[in-house]
Amino acid sequence: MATAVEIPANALAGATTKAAPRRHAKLSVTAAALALLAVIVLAAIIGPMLWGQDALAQNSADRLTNPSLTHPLGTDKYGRDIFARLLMGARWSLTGAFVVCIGTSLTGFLIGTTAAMSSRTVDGVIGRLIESLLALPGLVMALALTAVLGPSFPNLLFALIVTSWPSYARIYRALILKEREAGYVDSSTALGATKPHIVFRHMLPNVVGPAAVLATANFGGVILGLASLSFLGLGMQPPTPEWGVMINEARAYFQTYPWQMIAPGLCIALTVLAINLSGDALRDAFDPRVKRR
Amino acid sequence: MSTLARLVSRRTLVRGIAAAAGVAILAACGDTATTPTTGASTGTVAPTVAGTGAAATRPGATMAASSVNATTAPAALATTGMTASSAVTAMTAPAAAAPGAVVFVAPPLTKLTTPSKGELRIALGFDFPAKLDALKDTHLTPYGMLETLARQNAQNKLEPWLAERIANVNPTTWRVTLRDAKFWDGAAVTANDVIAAFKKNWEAFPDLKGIISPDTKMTAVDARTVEFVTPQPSGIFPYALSLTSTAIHKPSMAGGTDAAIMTGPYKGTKLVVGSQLDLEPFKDHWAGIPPIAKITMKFVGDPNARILALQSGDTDMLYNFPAEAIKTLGPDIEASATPSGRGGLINLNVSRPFFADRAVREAFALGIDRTVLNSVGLDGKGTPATQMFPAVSGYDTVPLQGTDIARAKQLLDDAGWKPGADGIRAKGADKISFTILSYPGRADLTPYAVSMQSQLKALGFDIKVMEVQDIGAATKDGTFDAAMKSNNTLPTGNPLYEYNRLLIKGGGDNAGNYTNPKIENAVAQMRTELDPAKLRDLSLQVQQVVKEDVPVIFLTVTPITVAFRKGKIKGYVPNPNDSYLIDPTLSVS
Amino acid sequence: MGRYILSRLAAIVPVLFVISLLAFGLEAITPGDTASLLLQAQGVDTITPAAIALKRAELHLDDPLPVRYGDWLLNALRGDFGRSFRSYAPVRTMYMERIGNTAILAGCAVLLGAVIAIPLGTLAAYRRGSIFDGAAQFVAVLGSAVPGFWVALVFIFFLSARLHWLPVFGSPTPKGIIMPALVLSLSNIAILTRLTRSAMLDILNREFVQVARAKGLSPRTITRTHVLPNAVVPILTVLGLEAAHLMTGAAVVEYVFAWPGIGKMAVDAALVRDTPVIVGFAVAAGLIFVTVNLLVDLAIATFDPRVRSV
Repeated sequence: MATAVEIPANALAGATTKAAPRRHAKLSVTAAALALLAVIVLAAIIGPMLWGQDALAQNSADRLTNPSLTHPLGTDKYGRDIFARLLMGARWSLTGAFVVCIGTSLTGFLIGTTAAMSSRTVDGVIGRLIESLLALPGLVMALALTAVLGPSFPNLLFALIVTSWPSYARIYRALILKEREAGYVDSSTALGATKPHIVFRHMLPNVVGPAAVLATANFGGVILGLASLSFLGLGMQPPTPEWGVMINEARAYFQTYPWQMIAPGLCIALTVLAINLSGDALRDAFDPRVKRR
Repeated sequence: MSTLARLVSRRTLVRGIAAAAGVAILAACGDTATTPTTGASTGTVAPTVAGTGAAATRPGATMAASSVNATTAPAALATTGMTASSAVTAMTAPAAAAPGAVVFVAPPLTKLTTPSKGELRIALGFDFPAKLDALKDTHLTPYGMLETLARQNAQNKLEPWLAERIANVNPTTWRVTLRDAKFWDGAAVTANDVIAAFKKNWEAFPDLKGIISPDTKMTAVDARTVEFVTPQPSGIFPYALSLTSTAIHKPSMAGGTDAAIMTGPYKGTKLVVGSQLDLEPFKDHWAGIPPIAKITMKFVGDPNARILALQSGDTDMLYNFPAEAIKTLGPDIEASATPSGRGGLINLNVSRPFFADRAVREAFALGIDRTVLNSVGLDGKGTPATQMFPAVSGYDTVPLQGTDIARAKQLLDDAGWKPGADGIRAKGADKISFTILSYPGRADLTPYAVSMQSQLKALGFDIKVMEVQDIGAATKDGTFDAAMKSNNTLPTGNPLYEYNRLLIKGGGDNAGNYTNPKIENAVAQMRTELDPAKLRDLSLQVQQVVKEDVPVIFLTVTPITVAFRKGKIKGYVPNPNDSYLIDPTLSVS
Repeated sequence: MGRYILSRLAAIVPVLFVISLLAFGLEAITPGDTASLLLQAQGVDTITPAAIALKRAELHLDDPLPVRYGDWLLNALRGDFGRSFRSYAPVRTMYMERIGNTAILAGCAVLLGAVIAIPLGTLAAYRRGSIFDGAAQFVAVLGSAVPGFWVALVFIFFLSARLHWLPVFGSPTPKGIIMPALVLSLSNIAILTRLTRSAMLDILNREFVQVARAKGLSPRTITRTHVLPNAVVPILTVLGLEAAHLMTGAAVVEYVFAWPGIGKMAVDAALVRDTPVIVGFAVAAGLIFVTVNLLVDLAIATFDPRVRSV
């Protein structure tokens, strides 16, 4: 599922040619998405603090309760406040996805740049490697790697990074190659600047924009991937809440306390939706063809 | 049907049984007084309990033993729940069973004649063996395929099964009379087949040698009578005949090395490992025509999926599912949770610096509120365990630690484990910070661990919980801190079974490699002791050491949960032993 | 065309090489002793050091890594991917037995997705800016945002447990395939609707369509002769990729529905760390991707002669 989500970002990047007949309608959608995203991120950052209830605190006297003022989503079988867990889960899910995006971006940047700045042979080898890895399904490889390394959240994040950097590397390589042709590189080299200096001082600022677009476009997919592998038990271990884990925990209570499972699922869907819509807007902003239309 | 056994690895279990049996003395009337006080007052124990209860509840059933001419058992014995051993001493030599000797007899058999009908679909939470071969995997008994000479009935009493009569002729001689039974290939089950099967069993399951000596002489007295002469008197002999590693089978071709031909009422027709096992009735079974025309068993690891499958009508019967689901099943499902011999416990690795200190171990035991565990793990359908053996075992028990936070804190303070700035207790460089391993195969265990994690935080324990799929593999190399287990305490009907696998060096379930000379010593004595009063004493001694030393922490007694569509299944009697499922008493409508 | 096929085939070699390196790497980093795990799987009761040594020798586990890789590659070329730590069954057999089920499911999901999404996307393009267009786009965005396993669970609760309409366990039967295929097609529908819509818009704006319109051709004729043929290539590409993704990325959904395919087997193996089966999945997934990509490329080349000359 989650891998599939990555396709539109990659495969359709070029094909997206949005006519914008109702510009303001679209803008309002974007604004709504950004607002939603802001709310979610804020909730993840300060929500647990504001809400004040401990996501891990068990209370055997208050097990499996219906929603109430003290517990807007009720409590689970340990008597833990589900709303508090949802907020804490947001923190872990978003942090996890963030770490993966940063990790993949960095790895992709380093490898892509190395390729672009190296000799033809090295570039050729790395390029082939990237193309080959791109031909493999990322989530599946992450699943395999996590399973072999042993299930834990850090291992899962590591596996996701290891398996999803190639698409980033390819784009960074292309971007850097383009930058390399720009005049300032030659002049800097003539002035005796080292390659790393050129890359980090001059090129990096120029590729940050497209890189952010790419990372945002993939962010939603990463959240879904994390959630599904955590759901399987390959990620976050109990009792720490993470949305995928929460869905798994709440499964047994769907018939008696359905919101326990609906809430984390909706959170995932809304977050991914908000991110994808914002990502679209971001891409449009950076994509000159769209502006032309 | 010990799921645990499957999860923990079959090998371990066999070793456990072997150890237990190397042990046991017992014998005689073979029956624990289910109500110790009554037993004590009457003096004559058990026999009637054994036969009638089971027979009455099972129409067409065949296998309740009407056994036992037990001699009067001393009052002390009855209260130990250790099964009478006095009969052993009462035995004398004559060829036919002497009055007072131990005899197990199966009740008269009313053969089933109604043609098989209907289909039964069962969803199970554990995978099937890789091969339907009794020498590769003995876990075929619950499926109604593999039979042993004797078995334990729903009252946890021994009764002849493939045998008709098991009699003690003299202290070392046991005469086993077979039923008029056939193998799946149509050939009669003869004394020689039994002898051949035993020889192969000894080879395939080396641990069996510890239970029944391979030097036991076997003679075919006639086509249906085997005489076993053990090198020494062996009280456990008839009981060992209920271990699946002593099952009767034969190769698919004469001279073959497999054991694909069995005697059970249902034979496997199609096996897809990891998914499905189909069974068809064996019309020539000794109990008559098995009632069900087709049995389909599906392995569904996820308990929620199993429950949904029952609700949606995709399956007819569930065995062992989370007790908390009972209230969600709906009005057209019949569900029950009955007391069993199974319990949740936690194994401590005593080589860890904190667990090496018994004060920490005892504080751990005192810091747990087991009532809360019972509600989070079993929805209150089990019982909190403050003793080593559940009530259904009938064994005498020493009360173990209950909840006493103040005392736990005192113990830790006195032993020098002081809370640090982070609230975690430490002594020098050693912090009480550890991981509890759990596994999803038993749905109650991870909730216990998660609950204990929070409960013990108050004591200054820093606990992580990690789920692994195969707890046996995860604890094998001794690198774990603490591990959740679910143990069936009933096999062989003797507490020694549990002591041997759990508390003795090299025991199959002694994952933490705990050893204590006092326990080793007491258990060694129990192996040779015949006096019931002393046996009781020794058993209580072992438990007293467990109380003082806390190598293992007992948490709950788990119920056996069964659910089926109302009116769909007839004749199901839960066996507290958690080892039998399909037999000819089970039918569908 | 022949040369094109050859060049495409040549391009696969490095991919296969990378797959083999990855698979071997996964196997090499597996913690635990392969020899004793396999002996356990074989049902050997007492595992002696001698037996382990023998097994290690048999598997060449003590050889240096490059030699082991060579062995692995030779075995793989012969179709030998080792045996399961659990059942001791050959990994290849296990996959061959189940891959058909997975293909059926992926095929149905892609078909279902195409049947729903292509008309939806086309209509949305023709009625650009309408409420219908908005709704279609919303469906598209939503479809790729909901977690499939969660939708699967909700479906099972309502359609199976409550309404008793469909079986809980997926199976390759008409009734058993509906839910898994539907759930899997959700993300598919999302992607295809977006793609169809934008591809159609793109073509509708092109000169030749404008010219055709100016010539007074009916919209239907234009669609049939000009628009659809041009939209085929991108749609076909995505359909192919989707099929490949569903054959591998569907693992979680397969698991929830207990679908007897390779995805569920891989998840089961992952949960018990049955490395040979996990590695087998990585290999199978890689091969499926490579094959589907190749087929898609060839199909496109057939439709669009310009590609061949590139």
